[in-house]
Amino acid sequence: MKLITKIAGLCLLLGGLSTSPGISAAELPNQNLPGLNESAQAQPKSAATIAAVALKKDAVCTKCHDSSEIKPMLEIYQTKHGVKGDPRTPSCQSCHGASENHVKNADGKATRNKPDVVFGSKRGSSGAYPPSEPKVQNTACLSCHDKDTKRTHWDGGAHNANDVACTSCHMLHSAHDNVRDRKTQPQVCFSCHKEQRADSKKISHHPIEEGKVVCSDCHNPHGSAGPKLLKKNTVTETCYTCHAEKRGPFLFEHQPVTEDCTNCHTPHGSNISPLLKSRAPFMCDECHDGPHNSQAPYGSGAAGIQGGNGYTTSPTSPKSPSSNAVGRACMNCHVMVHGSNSPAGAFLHR
Amino acid sequence: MKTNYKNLALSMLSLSVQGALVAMFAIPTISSAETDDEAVTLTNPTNYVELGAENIPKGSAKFGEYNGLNKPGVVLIGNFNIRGGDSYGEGSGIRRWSITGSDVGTTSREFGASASDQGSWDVGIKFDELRHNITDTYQTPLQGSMGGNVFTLNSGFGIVNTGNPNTTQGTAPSPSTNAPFGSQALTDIQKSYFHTVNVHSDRENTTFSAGYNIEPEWNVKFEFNHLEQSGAKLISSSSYPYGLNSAASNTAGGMASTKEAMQVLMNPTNYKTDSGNLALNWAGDKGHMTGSYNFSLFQNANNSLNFADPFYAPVKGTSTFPGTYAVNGTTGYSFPIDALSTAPDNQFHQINLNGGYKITPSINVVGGLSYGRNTQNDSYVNQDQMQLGGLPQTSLHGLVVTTHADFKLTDQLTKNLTVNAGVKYNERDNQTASNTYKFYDLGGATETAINTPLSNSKTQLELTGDYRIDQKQKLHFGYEFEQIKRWCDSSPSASQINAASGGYGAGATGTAAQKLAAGILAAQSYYALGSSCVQVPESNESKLLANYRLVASEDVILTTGYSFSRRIADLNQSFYNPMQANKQGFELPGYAAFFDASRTENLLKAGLNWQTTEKLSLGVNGRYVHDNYDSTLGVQSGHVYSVNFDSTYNIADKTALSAYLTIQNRSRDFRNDAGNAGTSPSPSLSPWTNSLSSDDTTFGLNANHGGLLGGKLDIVSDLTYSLSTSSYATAINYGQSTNTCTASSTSGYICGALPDIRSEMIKFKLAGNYKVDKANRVVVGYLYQHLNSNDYYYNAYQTGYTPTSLMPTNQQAPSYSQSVLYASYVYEFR
Repeated sequence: MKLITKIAGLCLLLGGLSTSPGISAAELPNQNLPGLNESAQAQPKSAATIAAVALKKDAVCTKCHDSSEIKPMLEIYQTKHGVKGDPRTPSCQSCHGASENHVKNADGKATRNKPDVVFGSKRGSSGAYPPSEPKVQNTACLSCHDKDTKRTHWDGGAHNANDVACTSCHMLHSAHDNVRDRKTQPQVCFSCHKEQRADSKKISHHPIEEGKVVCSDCHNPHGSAGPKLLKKNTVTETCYTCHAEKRGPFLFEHQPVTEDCTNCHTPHGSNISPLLKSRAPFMCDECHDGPHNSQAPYGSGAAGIQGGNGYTTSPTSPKSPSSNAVGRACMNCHVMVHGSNSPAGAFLHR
Repeated sequence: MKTNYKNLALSMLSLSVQGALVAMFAIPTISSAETDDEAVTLTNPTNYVELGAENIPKGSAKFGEYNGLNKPGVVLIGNFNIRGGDSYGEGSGIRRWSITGSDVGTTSREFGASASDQGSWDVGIKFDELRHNITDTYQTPLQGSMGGNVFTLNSGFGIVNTGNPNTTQGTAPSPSTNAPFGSQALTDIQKSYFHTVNVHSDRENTTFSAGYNIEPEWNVKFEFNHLEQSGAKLISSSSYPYGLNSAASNTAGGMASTKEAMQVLMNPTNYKTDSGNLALNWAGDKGHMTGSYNFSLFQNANNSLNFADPFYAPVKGTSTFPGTYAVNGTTGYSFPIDALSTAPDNQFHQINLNGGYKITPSINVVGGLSYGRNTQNDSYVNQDQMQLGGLPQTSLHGLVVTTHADFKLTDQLTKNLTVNAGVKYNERDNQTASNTYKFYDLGGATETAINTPLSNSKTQLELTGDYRIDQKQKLHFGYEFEQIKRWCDSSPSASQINAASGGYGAGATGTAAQKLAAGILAAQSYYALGSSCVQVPESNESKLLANYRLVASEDVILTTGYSFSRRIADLNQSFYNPMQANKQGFELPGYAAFFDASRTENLLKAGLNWQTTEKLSLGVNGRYVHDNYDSTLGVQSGHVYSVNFDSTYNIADKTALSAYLTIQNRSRDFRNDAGNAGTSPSPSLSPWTNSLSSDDTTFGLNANHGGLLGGKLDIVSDLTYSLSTSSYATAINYGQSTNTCTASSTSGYICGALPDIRSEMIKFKLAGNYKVDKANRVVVGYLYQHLNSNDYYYNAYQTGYTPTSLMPTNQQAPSYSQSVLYASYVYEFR
């Protein structure tokens, strides 16, 4: 409680220290964004009227940026940002700014001045102009999209802190936004998260490439209150979304299981099935050294007879690998590692 | 470096062989249509229906692990995506709808439909099927269908130990000869009972979602998901080798007296999980808030997994074999039937409230609260032969209360400085009652245990800042603190403890009160009381971090970062592991589990992203993490490093080449002591060490070439190579005489290196997309996929090479080579 009091005090102090406002939607020239909390139902005007007005606004841009563009600008009309009958739908200038110097081209330059806000993550992907700062780009998006629970934690989140722009992942003008399609989303995430890309190729993996489990099933890239941008508050709560059979509570629990599945598992992929960080008995030895046989060393004999070494208690005894060490090792008997609900399962045997 | 995936629109090739691979061609063709009515083309959705076939030459569970292509033969390719509505084509409406399907010819099929009036309402439904093919090499002599929960044996199988060189039934084997015995010496008749089962677990997911905008500031969203699972997963089992009835004598025969009898079983996954979320959202000018109710209801159709015990031997001097045994009220089974518990039915209900408020344009606060109740009251699996005396209750009445709170303030103090301060609190409070359970252990010994419901909480504080030094430089810095507490708040009563203390209390002398006190004192060492139920009741970790980003030029970005963290664990030296019997439950002094031990961690990372030209981008980044643990015994240290190289070369508008290489390495060293033989918690200075080293290399090369044959043909190819090896090595530093291992030797049963766990994968995909005309396309492709894996894990399951009391399964490490040809026809329309 003391810690909470301290942090609350610190927050108040920081709030009081503020002297300079940040970039806001109002700073973007002539944005006049409609806001997502306006309802199509509530508008007195007909959808047709609203659409006509909106298309007229767009025409300032689309009279040049038409179907001849290398990039398919007009595909935006296939997206949610192209539903012009919805009064909340932005016009081109809602996001890019009025861009008067660009529109009027008063200088008569062959290459016009750049628009107020240029989206993209690098020059090659944003056309002729260098992209605006991520914060400027994101401010344009967040002027509408910062008022829902999915983006509550954007500020200070990992992606925000690392200058990830919305358009680093989203393709606003394309009919197909790769990051919103389960079949293509991992490719977008892997463009930065390369260790996870490599992990997903390992012999034990979630069906990520098959599009059956995707990044956004577990993570909220827009920020969250959970660790590692997880959608849920904790790791275990996230995993129980699909693995509810592990939730219990069990009569006899296993401590690391109740705290964090990633104590033993590595969810993006592993060379050791099933998605394990290590192989028993060594994995178990990392937490146990007193009970039972966890204090016993196992070397090449853990590979069994075919590994070259059977369990030889004496030179004349038959070779017989120890069930403590081979195969599932500890889990040959302690099968209920996630917890047991058997009244005879105190040792996680049943 | 961020890979410029957008320039690889044609290269979404790390998709499955199935429809997804073909569907990737449907995506670019929409935008590359060149017709007279281009504006119409661009503003209206391109619908498609695709039909085709692919040939799977060989069956392989691993190749078809998740893609439904595990069986040989011709498989239907079927995908469709149809959209409509009056809002397309720069229309004036707000309605849209869609019907989609993919991979319809396989067990990975999906169907979906949706409709919406944007800004008013939306509904959607989706069906998603997935079969997880686990193995096609598993063998078992047990009879019973996969997905069932009763596995029996024909009486003709006999008992396992007929191969015992000491052929007298009821006499423990004497390992005085080199002949195999037990399950190493299955007879030909017994081997004939083994049969192969393709083990798989299926899931069918049906999701319904809906949203409605009540008024401008209010909307409600609902999502419901029904997950139905079937099939099975493999699980090991062990049983008492002398016969399960407590009345049976330990001289009844079977295996060596300390050996458990183990079989690998198909654990049914007949599960149903209904989950949902109902959320009411409010959004105002400066703030927003969401209140939601979230639930998850899990049901398991099976309460137990029952299996015959072929390691059983008849009582010496009698002829009770084959006998008659019962399971689930049915009698007549030839072998004793043992039982494992299964995942219990459980429920989780949670209410959440979260939101944010913008105090000023530069100050934003967000926060959330959650309260959840996880209950479980499924009937215990109960077999008289496993229990000693009655049960204190027939089900757990389990209750775990989860609470969460978070609060964060973001303040842009100056134009260039933004700070974040936040706190999070998560608690798992297990309020389940403790009770005493008496039972027979696998070795036949009577045991008494008290369940110790575990609770924990985590409090996290963070203070971070982002300082923009100038237009090109940015610094991110911060301090983070994490406190974890663990306890058991449902301690057993004094009488329970005394009863559970067994002979330790009874051995005390003095008055009855003194005996009771002695009993409690002894039992306190064995069973949980308060925070003594855990090894680390509290740990505190502090972390400092700094990341620096430099935009050296318009085309060069450099990043680097460093963090230092220190975790201090409050170690409970008298911790007793409640999962263990007698004094074996003590960990050695100085030992701590890695995940909560005192630790120092250093992390260093760096990256370079260089757009050399508009066509060529290069990138390299890496990360190194080193952990040092304070523990005298246990994990001592570990490190992880990775290096990534990426490059993309856009040769022309529709021609691109990209490549990447990722190298990963991980190591872990721990130190242990073989001195605790289960009789004393004191080490006897018999130290040994074990090291893990893991290396992974992943290489990818992707090329696409579009616009061939007058713009009609696009070709895409993709190559992925990955190689992983994991190696363990053990060294002992003490003398012993029972095997070839000595302090100076490098191999033997208890020391030396194990064979590498190795897997090598090659994937090559080549596909061509030919546009016959505006509406018709043909896709032809080839896939070569090769896996070669070696894993000593499987050695122990081979007939003749198992431990003497482990039934073989003859499972093999998965390896395959697969060449797949496929072709499909795509019809597009608007």
